[in-house]
Amino acid sequence: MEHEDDRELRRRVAGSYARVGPVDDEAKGRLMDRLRREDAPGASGVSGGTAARDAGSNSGERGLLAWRPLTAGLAVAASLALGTALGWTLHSRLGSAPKAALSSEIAEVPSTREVRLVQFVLAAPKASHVTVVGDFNEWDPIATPMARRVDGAWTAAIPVSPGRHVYAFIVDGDRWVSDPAAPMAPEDGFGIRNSVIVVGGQEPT
Amino acid sequence: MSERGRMSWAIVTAVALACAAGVLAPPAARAQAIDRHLLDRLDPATGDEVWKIAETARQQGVPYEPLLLTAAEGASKHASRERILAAVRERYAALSTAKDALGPESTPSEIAAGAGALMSGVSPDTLAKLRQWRPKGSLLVPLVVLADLVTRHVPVETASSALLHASRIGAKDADLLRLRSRIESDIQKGVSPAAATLSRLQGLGAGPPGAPLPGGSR
Repeated sequence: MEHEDDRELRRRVAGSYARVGPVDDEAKGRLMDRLRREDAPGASGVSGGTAARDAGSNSGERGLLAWRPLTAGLAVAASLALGTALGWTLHSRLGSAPKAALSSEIAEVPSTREVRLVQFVLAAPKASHVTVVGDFNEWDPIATPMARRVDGAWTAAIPVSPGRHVYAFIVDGDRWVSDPAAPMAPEDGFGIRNSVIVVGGQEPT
Repeated sequence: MSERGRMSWAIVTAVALACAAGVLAPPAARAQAIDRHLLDRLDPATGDEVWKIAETARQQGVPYEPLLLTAAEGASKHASRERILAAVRERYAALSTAKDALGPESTPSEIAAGAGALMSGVSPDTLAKLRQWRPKGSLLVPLVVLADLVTRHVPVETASSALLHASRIGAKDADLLRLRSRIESDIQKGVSPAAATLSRLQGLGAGPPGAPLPGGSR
């Protein structure tokens, strides 16, 4: 609720801006003359440009007129920058979720597509470090470290879009292993067998 | 309209167009940024080569993201440039063939799964028949199970016949996944892959009376 003092302050500030100063007829006349000169086509005797139009006027007015095209250009550039920033922001807010898992840039942004939280588990009691890597995190070996449970199993819960996904585990930084509990993917040409998981999109039972 | 008025309108119009351009440009630019990002881990020459293959795929309506992901996978596995390019080309060919075999209504995931089955040795004809037996339902699970069985050394003909038979009798995805799991378990216990498949398939359902099972057994 607004405080009485705040309302009084606002009224006084607004009132000072709204105050109309006394009108000087001579100043008003000079202003109107100038406006008439600017509106008249070719009144300055110069075709195009504004710099030569300043001939005969005082130096302050000449500087103001010369800056007009620059001001317009700056306004356009600023608008383009603002529009681009707005566009990027809008697109990230409405962006494509499935690719969220693939790009760290989008991963933190809400998505309009359905995403399921999938828990990956690997029994590796002798391992000191395990990560899960797959198409859902751009095959980044360090993007998704797994947590060790007291029973020696390693787990990680990852948001994954519906569909078929290929993945593997990396044990202790350099040993790639497939998931023994999952379907296998065909040989990928890199000598390391991956596993396959199907998320959602299945026929109802 | 006065000259000043015309200039004012020109400025307003330019500002509006600039704002609109800024709002509309990012989505296309952003898509490009995402795709190229997947190739950042490659050397520029390899990245450009992969990009060309991906562009060709995109122009032909073939899913191209699996190609970029294949390249990223190769980079993570420290594969050579030659292996990465060979893997990307092989996957592109498989995706293209899978798309033709599965039909124009196939989803990118189905096409990727179909490519996986083709790369394991399954024929395009089997993919087309699977679509025939499941015209409206997703083929994701059948294709994944099929590729898995072949990868576990179930003969291609046996695995293909098994999945076609299962689809023909209306087996659901959960049934297929259970079938796969049981076949895998039997193989690990020492049963031959072919025998394990035929045995478990009989447990899935005999189909209509007189219908032969794959391998001729009944």
